[in-house]
Amino acid sequence: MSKTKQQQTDIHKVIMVGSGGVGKSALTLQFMYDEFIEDYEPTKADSYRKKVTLDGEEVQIDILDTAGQEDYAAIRDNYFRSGEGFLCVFSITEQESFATTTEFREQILRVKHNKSEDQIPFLLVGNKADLTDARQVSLAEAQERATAWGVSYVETSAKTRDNVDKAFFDLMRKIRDQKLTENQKQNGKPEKVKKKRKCIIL
Amino acid sequence: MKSPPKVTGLSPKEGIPGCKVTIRGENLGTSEKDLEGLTICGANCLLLAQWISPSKIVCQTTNCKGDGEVIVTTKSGGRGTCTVRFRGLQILPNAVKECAIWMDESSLFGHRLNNRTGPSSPMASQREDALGLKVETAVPLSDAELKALFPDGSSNLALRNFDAGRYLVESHSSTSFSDLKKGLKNLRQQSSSIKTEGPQTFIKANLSTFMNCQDILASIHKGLEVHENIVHKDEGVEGSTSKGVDSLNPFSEDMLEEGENAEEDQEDDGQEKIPTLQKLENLLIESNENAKTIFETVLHRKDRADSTRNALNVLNRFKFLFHLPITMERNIKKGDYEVVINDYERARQLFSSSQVPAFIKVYQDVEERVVKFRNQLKKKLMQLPSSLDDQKRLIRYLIELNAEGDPAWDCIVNQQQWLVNLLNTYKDEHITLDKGNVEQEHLKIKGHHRRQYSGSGIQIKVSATDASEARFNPPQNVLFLEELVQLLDLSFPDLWRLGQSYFKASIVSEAGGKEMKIDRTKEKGFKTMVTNTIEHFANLVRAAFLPDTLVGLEPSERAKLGFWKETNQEGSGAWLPQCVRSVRGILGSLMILEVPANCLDVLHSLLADLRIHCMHTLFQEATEDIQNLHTRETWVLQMDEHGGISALPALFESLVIDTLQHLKEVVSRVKQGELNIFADYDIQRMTVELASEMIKAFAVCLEQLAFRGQAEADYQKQRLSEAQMCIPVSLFQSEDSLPSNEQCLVIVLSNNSHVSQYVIPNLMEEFRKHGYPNVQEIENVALEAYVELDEKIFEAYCEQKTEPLVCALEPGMNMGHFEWHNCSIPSGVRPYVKTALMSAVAIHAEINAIAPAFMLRVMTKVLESIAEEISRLTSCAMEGYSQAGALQARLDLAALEEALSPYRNAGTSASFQEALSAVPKLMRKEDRELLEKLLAKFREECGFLLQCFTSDPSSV
Repeated sequence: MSKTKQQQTDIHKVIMVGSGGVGKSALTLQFMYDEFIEDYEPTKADSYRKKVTLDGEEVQIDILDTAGQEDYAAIRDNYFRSGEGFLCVFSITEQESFATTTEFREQILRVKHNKSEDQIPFLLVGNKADLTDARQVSLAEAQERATAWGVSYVETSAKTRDNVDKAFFDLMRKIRDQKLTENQKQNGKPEKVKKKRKCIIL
Repeated sequence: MKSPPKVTGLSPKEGIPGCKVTIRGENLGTSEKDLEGLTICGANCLLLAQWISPSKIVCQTTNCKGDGEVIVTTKSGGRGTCTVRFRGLQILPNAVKECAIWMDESSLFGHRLNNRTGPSSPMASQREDALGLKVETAVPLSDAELKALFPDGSSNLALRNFDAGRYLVESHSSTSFSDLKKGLKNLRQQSSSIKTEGPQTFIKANLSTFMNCQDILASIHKGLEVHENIVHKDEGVEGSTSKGVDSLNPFSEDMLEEGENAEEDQEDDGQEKIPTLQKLENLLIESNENAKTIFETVLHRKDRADSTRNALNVLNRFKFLFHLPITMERNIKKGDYEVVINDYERARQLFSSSQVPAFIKVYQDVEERVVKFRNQLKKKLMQLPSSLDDQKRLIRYLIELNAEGDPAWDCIVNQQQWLVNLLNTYKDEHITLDKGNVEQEHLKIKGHHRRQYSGSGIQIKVSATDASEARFNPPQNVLFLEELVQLLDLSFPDLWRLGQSYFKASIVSEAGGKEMKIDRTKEKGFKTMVTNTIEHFANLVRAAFLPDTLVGLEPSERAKLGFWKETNQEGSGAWLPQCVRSVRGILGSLMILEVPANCLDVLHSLLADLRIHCMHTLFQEATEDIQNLHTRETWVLQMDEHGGISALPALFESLVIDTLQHLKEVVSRVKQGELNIFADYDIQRMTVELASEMIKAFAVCLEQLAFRGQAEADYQKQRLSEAQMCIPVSLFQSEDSLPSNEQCLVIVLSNNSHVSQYVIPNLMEEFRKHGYPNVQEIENVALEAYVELDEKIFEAYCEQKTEPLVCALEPGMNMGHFEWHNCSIPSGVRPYVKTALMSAVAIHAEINAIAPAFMLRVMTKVLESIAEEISRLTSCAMEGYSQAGALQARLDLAALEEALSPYRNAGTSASFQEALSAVPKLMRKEDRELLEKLLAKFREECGFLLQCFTSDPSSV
């Protein structure tokens, strides 16, 4: 394994989930490089990492931009397993993408079965907020779901960079907080609980 | 220096070799040239990198294996760092999977190749998925990750620590649930089948091991046998040999473990001292039998598979042969004969001597087809007409196909036959047409008979059979000749060239084909054939034009050439030069072909005969025409300095010259190699005869005119008046009455002399110019005739003219009972003299009007006759002369003599002298004076009348 000094700074592993074409990559690239990509090219799995300053503390954010297409559904489990926080993105102009968020949520919970729901940093993101004319998913509707899940909801626009930073930073904060609580737990219970491998098939 | 490049983003972050990766970051170079290096997982990817912007590079991965960094090196920033990691997925290739990189396959397939090294578990086949599903090519997790996930599990089915979870993650991480369910079902089925067929499958899977065992046992057995011989003498070693039988186990097919048990058993057996060797042998035999029973079906199947494979192989390898019959047929249909021949040649070389039944069978089929093909080609070759090139090609094909016999020769013979037959066909057709023409002549059937020989390109339109048209249409035999010549001209060169190239063997060699054997002996035959053909042609022409020259032939031969009716000969003269030209043309084209001289001789002689015939016919026709010229006499005079002539001489001249023109090329133009028809003495004689005959014909014509009977004259008169009625007056001469017989005579005489003086020399010049021999002779003969005619006419004329004059003298002299002895003193010249003079003047006038040139001749003659008569009359005065009578007689004589003095000649003078001598001399002076006086009076009286005699006859 690599033995870099990055070990010193915290790395927050964020995973972008959501159905195809909702703007996960656009959000990522906007966040990472301040650029907006107009043309659409389905992502397989992209990895980004950069240093950011979170509340005065230098941390690294590692973003795994996953494929939204159903084709890649099978390999998602692996990715989800390595993720620390999830940005579940849907497009406010597409009802279907909003509906799919439930499935993603369920899959995450299934993969992260060793953690309880509230232990998983999760943010519901309604993207393409600039396309108000084409809105299909109402703010209330989305907020209602967020509340039901016990997560926060944020509406972003990758095009205008509205709330892009906020979404990522909010999630990073949640991850950081989650990590802190876990560390505290570990400190409290020094014995490391090694989870038994189990066949997850069937 | 700028800050080093830093890669912060990868899209995608993992991928199989060859995938496209978008690398994002900071300071990734200022330009494309600035980019100096790019490694992904340590593999250099610079070659495939594409610099987009300082924050973006697009690159294709190469053989990137495992987890690693993406390092960008730039000139400006040096070696960079990386915050993300790329994972090169391995693809697990199989035979049909495409792969962008060169894989090291030894690690992938090695275990199979080394299969024999050790026993493998029944589940050992790694590449085949245990679930019977498609194997995924991409492993989503790295080995390290897998190890972390499954620290003591393995995905190897054969290992004790096999972990199903790991196996699934590794191989089926992206398989859908339903597929997995299917896989489970497969697995269940497999395991149940393994249970039932377990042992056998095991054996099959580890066959090599078993074989090894067997081999070892066999060698042990062998060793034992050798040993046994020794043991017979020394039996103490038996125990140690039993050890070698350890692994010997007849039932090892069941399970290895069982084998181990059996091993122990055997060890016990060995101690029981059962003859080991015997047992071993039995066991070996048994195992062989077992193996046989087990593998019999398999082996059988294998054998069958092998034989099938072999058959397929053979079919594939020799598919050329097996497809050949069909291919040939197709190509023959398409007309790709070359291809067929090449294929056949190849097949013949490869398979003709093959012993393999299958090949023999197919090859026979091929042969059959080739025979058919050959026949087809032959048939085609025999189909005429066809072009020389086609024929040559077909012959070449046939030779290349090894056709028996000599196709080229056959073709030559066939073509010759065809040619001869065609010649004969034409002959028959034309003869029937010819006969038909005669029958139809009166029926006036107007029909267009059109024949078409499309193949040879001969297209002759024969439109004939209308009687009124008949004379403008060529006679049938001429058409026939034309057609024959055309046919020969078109077809013979082909035949000849074919023959030439046959003997030069160039038919095949031209196209680079194989050698063609040539029968030299056939060359003679070919020559005979060619000669025969030409001879036949010549004979056919002769039959049509010169049947007389064929008399020498046998009747049967003659009959073949056909008989033409003779009636047609008339009027064919005009067409004959055309025929000569045609024959000459064909002769010329044959000469260009370098046909042997003896063949050409036939044609040469034909041509010569034809030319002679032509000349003969033309001359004869001209002669006839000339003889008929008298019907065209109009008696219209044309005056020139030589006197008047009618139109006839000119007509005659133009006729002759036309004939000569017609004959010009026929007779004179002797081409190279042609016979000079005048070289033959007989021909010379004939020519002279014909020519002079022709010239003389006009004399005959003139004679006819001169001495025509009254009836004829009447007829002519009628004809002319008819003509007058038909032809507008303006075109006809205004003289409405025909000249009198005498006038006609003078005209004819004038014409005659004109002809002999001017026309004949002219014509002779023409003759000379055209190269006729013995022109002088012709001229002489002709002139003779004219001179003769001239005499004849002149005599006749003079007779006709003088007779009345002379006859009038005597009665005139004795008129009024005048008597020389008893008469009064004359008071002047007596009237009879005056009458005679008047008659002479009339003759003079007639001659002067028509032919002044004859004046002297005629008048002399007239005068001579008068003088003779006078002298006769004077001497006949029985009673003698009185003084006055003598005076009177002398006066009369003097007056006559004086008046006609310009025409006096010796005869005349003598006659006058004689006459005067009969008259007594004038004795008295007063008588003489009176004579002078009276003579002067006569001069005075008749001076004007007599002026015409004194003046120059030609000056009028």
